Amino acid sequence: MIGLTHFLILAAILFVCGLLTVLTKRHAIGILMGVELMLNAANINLVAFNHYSAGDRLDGQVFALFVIVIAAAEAAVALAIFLNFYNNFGSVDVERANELRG
Amino acid sequence: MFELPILLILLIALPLVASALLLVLGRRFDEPFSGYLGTGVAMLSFGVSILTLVTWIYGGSTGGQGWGHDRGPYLDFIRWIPIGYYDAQRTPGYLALSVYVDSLTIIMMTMVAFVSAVVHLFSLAYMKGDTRYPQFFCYLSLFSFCMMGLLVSGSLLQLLIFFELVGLCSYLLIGFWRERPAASAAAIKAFVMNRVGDVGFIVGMCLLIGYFGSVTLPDLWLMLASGAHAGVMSTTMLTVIGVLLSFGAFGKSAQFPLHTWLPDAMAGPTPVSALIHAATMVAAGVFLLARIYPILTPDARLFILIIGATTILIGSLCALAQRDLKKALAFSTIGQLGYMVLAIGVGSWTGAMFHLLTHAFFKSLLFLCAGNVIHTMHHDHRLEHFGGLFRRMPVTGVTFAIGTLAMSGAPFMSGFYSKEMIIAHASAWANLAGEQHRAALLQLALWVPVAAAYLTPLYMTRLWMLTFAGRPRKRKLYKHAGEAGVMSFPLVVLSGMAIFAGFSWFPIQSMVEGTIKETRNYIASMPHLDPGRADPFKTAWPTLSSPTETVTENGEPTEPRDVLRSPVERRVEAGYHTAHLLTGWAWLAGIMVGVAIWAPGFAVTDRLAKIAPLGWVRQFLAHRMYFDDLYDLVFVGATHIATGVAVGIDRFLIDPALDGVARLTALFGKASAKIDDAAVDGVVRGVGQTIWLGGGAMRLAQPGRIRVYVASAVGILVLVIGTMVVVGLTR
Repeated sequence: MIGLTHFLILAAILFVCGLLTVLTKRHAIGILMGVELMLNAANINLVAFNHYSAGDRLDGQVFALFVIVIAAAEAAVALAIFLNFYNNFGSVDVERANELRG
Repeated sequence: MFELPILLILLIALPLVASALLLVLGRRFDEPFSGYLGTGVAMLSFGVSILTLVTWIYGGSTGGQGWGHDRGPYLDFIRWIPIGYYDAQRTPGYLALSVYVDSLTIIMMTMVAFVSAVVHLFSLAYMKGDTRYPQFFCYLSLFSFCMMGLLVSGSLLQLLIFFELVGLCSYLLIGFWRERPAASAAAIKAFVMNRVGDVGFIVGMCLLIGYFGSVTLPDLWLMLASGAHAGVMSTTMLTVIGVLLSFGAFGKSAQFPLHTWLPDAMAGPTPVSALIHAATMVAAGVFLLARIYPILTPDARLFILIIGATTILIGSLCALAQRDLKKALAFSTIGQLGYMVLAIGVGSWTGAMFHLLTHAFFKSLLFLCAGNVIHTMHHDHRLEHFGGLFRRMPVTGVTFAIGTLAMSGAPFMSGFYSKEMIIAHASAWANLAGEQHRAALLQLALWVPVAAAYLTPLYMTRLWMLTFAGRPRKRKLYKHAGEAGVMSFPLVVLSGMAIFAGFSWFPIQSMVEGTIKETRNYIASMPHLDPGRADPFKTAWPTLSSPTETVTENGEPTEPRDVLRSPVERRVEAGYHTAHLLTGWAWLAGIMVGVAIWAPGFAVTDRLAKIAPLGWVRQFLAHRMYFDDLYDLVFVGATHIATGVAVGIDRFLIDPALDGVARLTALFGKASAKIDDAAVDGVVRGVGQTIWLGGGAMRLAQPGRIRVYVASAVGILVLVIGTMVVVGLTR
């Protein structure tokens, strides 16, 4: 029987995949992808919790929808930043974005 | 008639305007024009002075307080500086700017304007080609202005101011050829010697201000004549003041202790010597003595008399041995000024002023003649290089001879009358002193001028013979010698004056005598004064107004009318007889001896000088009695010693002290630098370093690498959640 724990484990695996992607990638788009993975891991948690503990209320699903919308907006903003970044540096390598280092 | 004030203002302002014009625009005017401007103004001044003279004698105002010849002085004043209170009524005292004009002023102004005009005319040719031609005329005009200002001065303060101004002009003109070291040195010497005298003058004046609160001449005369001084000061104090004041005159008139500047002043251009150092400026000292005569006590006059007699001897003797034409003339000027000073001393006020005026004419004549000679000899002054010049310059020779005769006191020449008057008065004074059984030495007051009356024609003849007679001693110079008409004309004019100035119909004598009368009238017109007691000239000898002898119809002289004469007048009359007896033929004796000795040039004197004592005497006189060397030794030497001492103190006392202070300061500075470095800077630096270190630590956390940020964020998150979980589980 598949319970809540299985979903949480899946979400955790997905989150860690996203986190590792963010930590290891130097390509900005890759990092954005990792972030999407982490957001989706959170979405799975939201929907799973709603399903197993909230009865017939749809709070979790609605919240997940919000997250998806925000993720779309965030992708738009991030892509705009990358475009600008590319214009200035000729690449989208985040290692080079270190002008504000202490 | 013309307005007197306007004429006086014109007389003073004209030369000033000319001088200012030449000073400002002198460089734009080319050579002859600046000379013509100066000369034109000088001639104009002379014209104005004649008008003034005529106005003074025939114009004038009548009435009790009127001014004019034989009537009274013209005076006016402006209160200038209030100086406290000076009398019982608590009247505020003032130093006044005042004008005091009497016959003496007028005739002196005429004389100055005349000599100035003649000298200007002479300078036109004499200074031709000089690089500073306009400047020369500028200074001459400035001098005329200062001299006029001096003559109208009505207070000692003003007299002092103009004394300094004429001194300045004298300085500028002596050092006119400033490229010559001798001229510069002579200018400075003249200035310094005059300052020495002026110190006395200033101190005397300050004493008068202190005691009386006024130095205006009429005030002084009134106070002293009325005996108002008796309560304020002792007679000794008054004597001291008189002596101090006369020091100013001694400096200006080159009298005994301060006479050494005048021979050196001959380094200036010769027209300057004629105008300033013969006729006018040096006479200003005697003029001062004449002005303060009423306040001179008998003791002060005795002092002046001694100085005058000494100066006569120095001047007359040194003139005998000078090898420089102009220096010999300078010493003769000193001698003649000595006559005037002695005359003041014996109370011959009229004689001194009379001699001053006649001397101005014949001495400036002699100097201009010398200028003519020097000009043609290419500025060689040495008598050794002259000789035989009469054939080349007859006009100069004749006029020089006239000057010589006038100065020697040959009959019917101007010098005859003035010198005779002085000797007569000196004789009267000596006579009186003898009767009062005062020191027998005082008889020298008569014998010194008498001796000088023999010496004067001697040295003047020497000059004439060595210059104009004999064989020319310097062929090359002689060949080109000659005289120009332009330069001879002034000589002729002056020699006319040298002849006629002494005659009684000439206005000089009457003007001088009128001065006394005017002053007496002025004093007498003052209220609350006893005119008998208050006579400011009560110690002066009278001149004889009518001839001493009259001739009866059959041609025999009658006895002098003793009955009509006062004892004083009889004494003067006896003095005239003595003068006739002692010096009547002095001029001829002197000239004959002079011709005998110097006709063959230096031959006789050189042979005489081989006899040891005579040679020493000649050496002594030629070196001007070693006064310059003495002053060098005493004053310059003392100054050098004082300087050495001062340098020693400076070097060994003040310098080390200063150095020590400086060293201490340096040490202190170094210590304070260390403290600064260690303590103050350390604190500041420590603060900075700490912040720097902190910043370094902080920047470790800001490496600029996104993965580190993300990893640390995740790490912290894990830590927080882990902690929460652990805490939650253990609870």
